[in-house]
Amino acid sequence: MGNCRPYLSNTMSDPKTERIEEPKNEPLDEKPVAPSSEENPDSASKEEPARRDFLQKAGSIVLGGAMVAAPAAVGLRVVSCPLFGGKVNGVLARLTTLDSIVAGGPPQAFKVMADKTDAWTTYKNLPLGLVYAQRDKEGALTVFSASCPHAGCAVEYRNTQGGEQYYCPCHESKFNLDGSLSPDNTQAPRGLDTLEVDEEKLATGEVWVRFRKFKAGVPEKKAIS
Amino acid sequence: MKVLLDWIDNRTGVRRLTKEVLFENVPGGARWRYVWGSTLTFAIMVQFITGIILWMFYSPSANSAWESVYHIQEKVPGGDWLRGIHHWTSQFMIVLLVLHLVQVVVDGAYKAPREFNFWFGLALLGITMGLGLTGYLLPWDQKGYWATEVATNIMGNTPLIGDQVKQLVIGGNEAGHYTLTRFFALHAGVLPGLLIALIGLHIYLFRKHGITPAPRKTAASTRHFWWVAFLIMAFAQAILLVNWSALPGGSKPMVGIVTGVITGLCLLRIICLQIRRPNLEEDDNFKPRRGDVYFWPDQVFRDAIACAAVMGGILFFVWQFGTDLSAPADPSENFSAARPDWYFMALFALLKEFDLITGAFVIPGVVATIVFLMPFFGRWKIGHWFNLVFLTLVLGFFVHYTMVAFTHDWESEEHQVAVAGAHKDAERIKALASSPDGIPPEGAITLLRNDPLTQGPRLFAKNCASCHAYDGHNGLGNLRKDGQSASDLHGFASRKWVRGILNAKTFQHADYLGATKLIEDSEMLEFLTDDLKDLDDDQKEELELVIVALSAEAKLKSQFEIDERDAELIADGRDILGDDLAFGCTDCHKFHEEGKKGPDLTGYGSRQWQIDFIKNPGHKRFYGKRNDRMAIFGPKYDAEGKLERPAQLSDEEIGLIVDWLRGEWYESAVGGEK
Repeated sequence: MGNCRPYLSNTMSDPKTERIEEPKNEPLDEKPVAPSSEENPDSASKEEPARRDFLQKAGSIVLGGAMVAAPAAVGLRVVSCPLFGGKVNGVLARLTTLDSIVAGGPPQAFKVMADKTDAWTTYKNLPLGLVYAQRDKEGALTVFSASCPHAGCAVEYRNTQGGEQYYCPCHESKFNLDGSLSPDNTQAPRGLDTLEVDEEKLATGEVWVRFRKFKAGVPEKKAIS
Repeated sequence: MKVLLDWIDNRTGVRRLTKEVLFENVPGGARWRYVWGSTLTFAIMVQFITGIILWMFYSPSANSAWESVYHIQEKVPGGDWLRGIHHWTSQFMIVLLVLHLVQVVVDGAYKAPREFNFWFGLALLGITMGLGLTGYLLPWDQKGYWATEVATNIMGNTPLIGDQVKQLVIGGNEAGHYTLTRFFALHAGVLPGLLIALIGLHIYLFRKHGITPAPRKTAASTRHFWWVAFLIMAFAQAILLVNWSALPGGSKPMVGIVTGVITGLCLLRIICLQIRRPNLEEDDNFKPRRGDVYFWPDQVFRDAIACAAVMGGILFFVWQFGTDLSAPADPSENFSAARPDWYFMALFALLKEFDLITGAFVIPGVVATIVFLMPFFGRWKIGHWFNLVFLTLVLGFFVHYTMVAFTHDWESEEHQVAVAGAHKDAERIKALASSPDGIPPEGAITLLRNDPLTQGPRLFAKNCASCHAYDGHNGLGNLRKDGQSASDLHGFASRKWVRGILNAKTFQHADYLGATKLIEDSEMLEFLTDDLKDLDDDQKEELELVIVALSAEAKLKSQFEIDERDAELIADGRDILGDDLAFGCTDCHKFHEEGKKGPDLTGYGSRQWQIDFIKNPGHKRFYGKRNDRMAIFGPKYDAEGKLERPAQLSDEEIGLIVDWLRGEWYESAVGGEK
C-alpha cells in the first residue's frame, strides 16, 4: 500500500552522510563509493567505468555550461549595446543673433534647443543644455559649455569685488572670464570648454554652435558625444 | 589553489554543500523520466537571466511600455533574440510543468510523505501561470491589453470580493499607468520572489525525502507502457481525423506524418514485445534490480541533455516564429483578434459554453481542489488509479477545449479578418515608428491615430461607405452592405477619373454620378452628350489637355512625376479650360479668375478642395441646392449664420479621409505599403 512505503531516504542516505563527516580537505572529485549493495550491471561491470564516468562528467559540464551560457551570451550582447554606439559629433543648434550679444558685455546664458532622440522617443526642440556666449571688446564671439571640466556640474558667472569670473558651485573650481583657469582654482584640470561656432551662419549674423559633451576630469579636451 | 579552497571551505563548508548537492542518491539508477524537474529549474534560470536584462530596457508606463519593447525588439542588436527566448521559454515552462506533474502522479511521487512537496509544486504551477498572465500585458500592445481587460473583468466577478480584487490588481477602475506598474512589480518582483522561495522549499523537501524509487521495470510493465502510448496516439489520431477539415491546410501533411509515424512505432514495439514475450518474462526472474547511482554525474548528464533539448526547442521557435508585438494598446480601437495565451484558450472556450461563474470559478475550482486532494486519495491503490484517470481526463478536456477554441478561430472568417487587420496595424506602426520623425513623447499610438493609411479606410467605411465605394469595396476591403448610391472615390481626381467623368457614358455610371440625382436634367450631361459627340482630332487633343490640366489641379502624389513631365501640356490645358470660346467650361464653372458660378474647379481634388467639399457639399461653391443626399460633415449653420449643430467629423478626421483618398501617407524608403 502506498502509505506504508518506508521513508526511503533515511535508509538510502546513510552511507553518504557518513562520508560527509570525513576530513574536510578531501578532494572534491573523489567520488564516494556508490551506496549500492547490489551489483550494478549497467554501469559498473560492463565497461570501463572510469572512462564512462569521465565522459559523463565532461559532457554534463560542457553541455550544461553551454545551455546557461547561451541566454547569458545573448543577454550580454544586448546589455553591452551602449559600448557599440558611435559618436554623433554633437548637435548643431541656434542660440541667437550676433547683434543681441553686446560686445564687451557680460556673458549671456543660453539654453541649447534642438531635436533629440532618446532611445525610443524623438523630442522636437528640447532643451539639451546650458552655454555661455560672450563677445570681447573687439566683438569676437566665444561660446563656453557650462559643464565644469572637473566633474560636470554647471558653472555660474559671477561679478564680485574680485572681478568677473566663472565659478563652479560644486567643488569651487574657478575660471577667468576668457575661460582659462583662475590662479586660485584648486580643482578643475583644464579651462572651460569652448564650443565650435558655425562660421557660415555667423557671417549672416546668426549664432549657431555645435553643442557636445567633453570628458570631465582630465587636462585635455576630448569630445565624448 | 588547494590552500585557498581549504580556507574557503573551513569558513563556509562549501565542499560539504557541493557534495550534498551532487551526491544525492538516485535509487534504481539514472532515468530519463527524472529530468523534468531539472529542465524546469533550468528554464527558470533562463527566465531570470533574460528577464533581468529585459528589465534594463523596459519602461512600465502607458505611453512608453510599447515603445520600449518595440525599441528592444527592433532597434537593439540581439534584442529580438533576448525577448524571443524569454517569451518562448515561458511557453515551454507550461508544457514542462504539465509533464512534471504527469510524471509525479504516474510515479506516485505525490503520496505520503511528499504531500507538501506536491502542493508546493501546484503552487509553483499557479505562480508560473500568474507570471504568464502578467507578462502578457507588459508590452502594452493590443493583444495584451484586451486579454488583460477580459482577465481582470473575470477577476472582478469573483464572488464577494471581486470588485476590490480587480481594483487592487489594476490599480484603479481603468487600466493605465498603475496597471502597468503593478503588473510589472508582480511580474518582476513579487511572483519571482515567491517562485524562488517555493522552489527552495520544493527542492529541500525533495532532497529530504529522496527520489521516489521507480517501480521495477518488468517485461509486463514495458508492454503496458507501450500499449498505453499506442492507445493515446490512436486516440489523438482519431481526434485529428474528426477535425481534419478544420486544420489549416499547410500543417496537414506535417501533422499527419508525425502522428502516423509515432503511432506506427508504438505498434511496432508492441508487436516485437509480444513476439518475445515468453523469453522476456523468463528473463525477469533472473534480472537483478538496477543499482543505485549518485545524482552526479549519471543523472546530471541526462538532465544536461534534456536541458539542451529544451533550449534547442526554444531557439528553434524564436528563429522560426519570432515574438509577436501587436499595435500599441488603444481602448478606443476594438480589437476583435483578442485572445489570451494558448494555455488559457481552454478556459476561454469554457467561457463560451458555460456562464461566467461556472466557467471561470466553479469548474477550475473543482478541478484544482481534486488535484490538491490527490495525495489523500493516493493512500489507497484505487485512489491512485482514480488520480491517474482524473488527470488523464483533465488533460484530455484541456486538449479538447484548446482544440475547440483554436478550431473555432481557424474556421471563423471574421476572426481571420480581424487577425489580418491586427497584423496590418502591427506592421504599419512599426513602419511609422521607424520613420525619420520617430516616436513622439506622447507615445506611438498617436502615430497610428494620425496615420491616413490606417484611419482613412476606417473613417470611410464608417461615414462614407453607405453611399460611396472605394475600388468596389467599403474601404476596408469588405463588401459594402448598402447599394452604391454615389461615386467610387478610388483614384478621385486622377487623370483616369477625370477622363471618366468627362465621358457621357461613364458619367451616367454608378461609379461616377449615375446613382445620384445630379444627373437629372443635368446641363453637364447635356454638354457631354451633345457638344462632345463629334469631335475632330484637334478637339480630342484639346479635351485630353483639359483632362490633364484639371487633374493636375489636385496635385496628387501618385501623379507628381507625370505632372512635372507634362508641365507645358498642363499650362496649355489650363488656357483651354479658362477660355470660354473653347469648350466653354467657365460658362458653368469657376476656374481661377475665370467664370463665376460653381461647381468650383479651382484646385479641383486638392487637399483643401476636398476638405471644403466634405465639410459642406451644399455650399454654393460646390453643388449648391443641387446637392443630393450628401451630408454636411462640417458644422452646420442656419440662414442667420448661427450654429445649428456641431461638425459630424472633426477637421482632423476629414483631413485623414482626404489624405487617404489622395494617397498621402508616410511610406518607408525600403519596401513600404501599397
